[in-house]
Amino acid sequence: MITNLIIQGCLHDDRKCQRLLYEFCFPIMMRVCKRYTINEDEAVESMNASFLKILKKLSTLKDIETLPAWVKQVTVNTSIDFYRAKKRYNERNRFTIDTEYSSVSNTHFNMDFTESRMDSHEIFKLIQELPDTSREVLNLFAIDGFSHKEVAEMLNISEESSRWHLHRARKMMTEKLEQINYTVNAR
Amino acid sequence: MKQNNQSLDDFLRSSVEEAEFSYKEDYWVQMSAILDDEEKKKKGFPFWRGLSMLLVLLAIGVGVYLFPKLKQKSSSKTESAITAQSVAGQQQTLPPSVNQDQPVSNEANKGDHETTTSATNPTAPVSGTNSTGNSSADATTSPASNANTSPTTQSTINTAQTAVNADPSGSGTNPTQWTKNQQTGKGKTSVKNHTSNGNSDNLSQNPTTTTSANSNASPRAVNKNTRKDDIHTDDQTSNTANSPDVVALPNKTKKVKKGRQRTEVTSNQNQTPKGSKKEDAAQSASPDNPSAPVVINTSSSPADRVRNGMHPVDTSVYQGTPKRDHTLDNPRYVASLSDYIPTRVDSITVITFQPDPAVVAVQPKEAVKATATPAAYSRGISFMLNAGLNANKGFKGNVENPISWGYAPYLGAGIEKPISSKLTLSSHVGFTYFNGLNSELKINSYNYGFGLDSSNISILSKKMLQLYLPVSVYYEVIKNHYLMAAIGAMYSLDVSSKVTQRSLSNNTGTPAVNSKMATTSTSTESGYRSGFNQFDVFAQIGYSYKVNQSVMLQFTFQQGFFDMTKNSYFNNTLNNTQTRLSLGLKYNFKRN
Repeated sequence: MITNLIIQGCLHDDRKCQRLLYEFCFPIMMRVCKRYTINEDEAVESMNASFLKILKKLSTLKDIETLPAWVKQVTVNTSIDFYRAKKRYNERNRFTIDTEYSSVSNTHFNMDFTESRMDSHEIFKLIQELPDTSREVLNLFAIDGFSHKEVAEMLNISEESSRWHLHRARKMMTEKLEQINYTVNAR
Repeated sequence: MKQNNQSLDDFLRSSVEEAEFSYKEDYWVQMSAILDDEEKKKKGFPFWRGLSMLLVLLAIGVGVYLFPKLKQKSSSKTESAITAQSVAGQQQTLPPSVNQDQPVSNEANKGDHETTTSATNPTAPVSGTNSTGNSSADATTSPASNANTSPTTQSTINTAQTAVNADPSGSGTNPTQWTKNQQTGKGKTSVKNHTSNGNSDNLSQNPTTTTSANSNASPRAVNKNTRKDDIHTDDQTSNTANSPDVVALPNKTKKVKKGRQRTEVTSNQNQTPKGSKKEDAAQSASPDNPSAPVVINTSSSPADRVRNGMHPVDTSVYQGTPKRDHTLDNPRYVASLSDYIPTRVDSITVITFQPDPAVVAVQPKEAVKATATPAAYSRGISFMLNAGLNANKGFKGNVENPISWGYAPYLGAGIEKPISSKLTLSSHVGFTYFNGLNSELKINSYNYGFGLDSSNISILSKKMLQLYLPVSVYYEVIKNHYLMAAIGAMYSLDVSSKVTQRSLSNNTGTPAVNSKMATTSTSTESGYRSGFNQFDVFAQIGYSYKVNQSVMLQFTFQQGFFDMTKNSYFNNTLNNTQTRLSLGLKYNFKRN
């Protein structure tokens, strides 16, 4: 349990308090970083960078009740910045927007996820296998709840491109889920 | 489709949020290394911040030291020009009457003597002026009578209280005689007795006596060394109305430069009885007397000089000359000065003083030098050190046993400069610490499933290390007693704290009721300064006593204006300002 005193100790560079906070934030940060990176090393690197930013901005935290959500938000923003710094999505994004958008606009999928027999770690693996931009859009929109406009601003792309990448990510996720015995009915 | 998408999103979201990841110690090791790098970056900053503060203080000190010197150079050039102008102006404004009718004054004499002169009433009737050696009538009863007295008949001791009866109209009609008495010695002013008897070249050399002169003597021709700017009237009025010896006129006294063989004289009416001390003193004077007047101190009366260890040894009386009718022999007077009525005096008395050996032996020489040296406030900047003990009033905090008053030493170095006879400006940089912070921060942590049950960290703030810079003004109320007022700024470098850590752990990884191991460690650490404001402005008032020329004992009260504790840090609404009493010594490295 994190209290105001631990927060104050972190503000005064008390290492023990910082460790306690790190351990508290670890699961929150790792769930985010695992989705935005492609392997564990990058995830840890992104997580540590996120925690450093959390410590620097900890004085701006007004209510300790909002700490988990605030940590998650900071981690998401840091992960995006981290990924931008790597500049990989341009190298791995092999498809153009217009071509993919027109080709998948009429595809509909019907998936039944009532019975989930997959391990959560496998989901993470499937997400990591997605193309970079599509993965980021899927994470931001589908999981983290950002709108297409916000996603477009964060990734410096257009809203149409964001929608296309989301559709593409969903399509690919469905295909991959079918490969592991999930039923997909195409119409 | 939307429903399918929503289903997929929900599925992904739920799957992701349910994921659990195993914590590894390596993660924290990497993070700890990053934090260490960040701390190293932070430590460099205070160093530069402190260094910049010292450089600023040093620049201020150098500027305060150099600025007066630069100002003196520019003012000295201005003063020299002004002096030249004033001298030229003085030569033009001297009253012409004195220059016309009166003989030359003696030059200043080197030696230990003082020479003073006093003026007489030019309108005083002259009695027995044509007689030689006749003592004058009683000066107290007949101040108007002109004294045809020789210096030997005058008592200089009693001339300390002489009345000054000046007649600016210069309408004295009685012919008077001028006698001049000059004393010569080794490198000192020569003394010549001169009597004007109406003939321009009638000059007698009798150093001991004065002779009467004819009323028709022409003073101008008597002494070829006469200069118009040597003699002028004195506006000073002495309190010697009842003196039986000398009646002095208000005089303007001009300083006599060393090396000039003219003493300043003014018109004087000397009426001393026979057998007076002046006469005896004058008789004892001789040209070979090494005691010769050196400084003419006309700011004090002869009585004062007697009290200050000087006794008169000679008195010379210069009798005045009768008023001439310039219309007869001076056509220029007719043309330009016919309407001008000059100031006339009947006689001039020059009293030569000699320091009393008994008094001089007792009096310190500094008293004599004080008149010759420049004023104290014209000295330059001097360096000083001060040290002492502070009593700091403790803060209102959250400590169980708060400190009411904390005691800490202080040490400082600075400069000071007298700006007037009673005011001194001072500034210095000092170091001290403020104890009595009475502030404690406690941090508690509980079980988390990582092998730690509870931990308690206590940060007790002990001392606040400070640099301060006051600018002070000292005012000398009475001799050796000063009042001081100052304003200044203070900067807190760091806070020294006592950190106590108590840990209870069972190492089982699960919440435990009974702890198996407890550890306590205590250390003194610096850096926990986030709860305190570093900058403060304060005012001081105090009292100082000058023990001697270099050492001063001082007592001050200081009050800060800023709240030194951050309410958000300590979670309170207290206003903690610094209050301090100081007692110490100041040592001044004065340059003489």
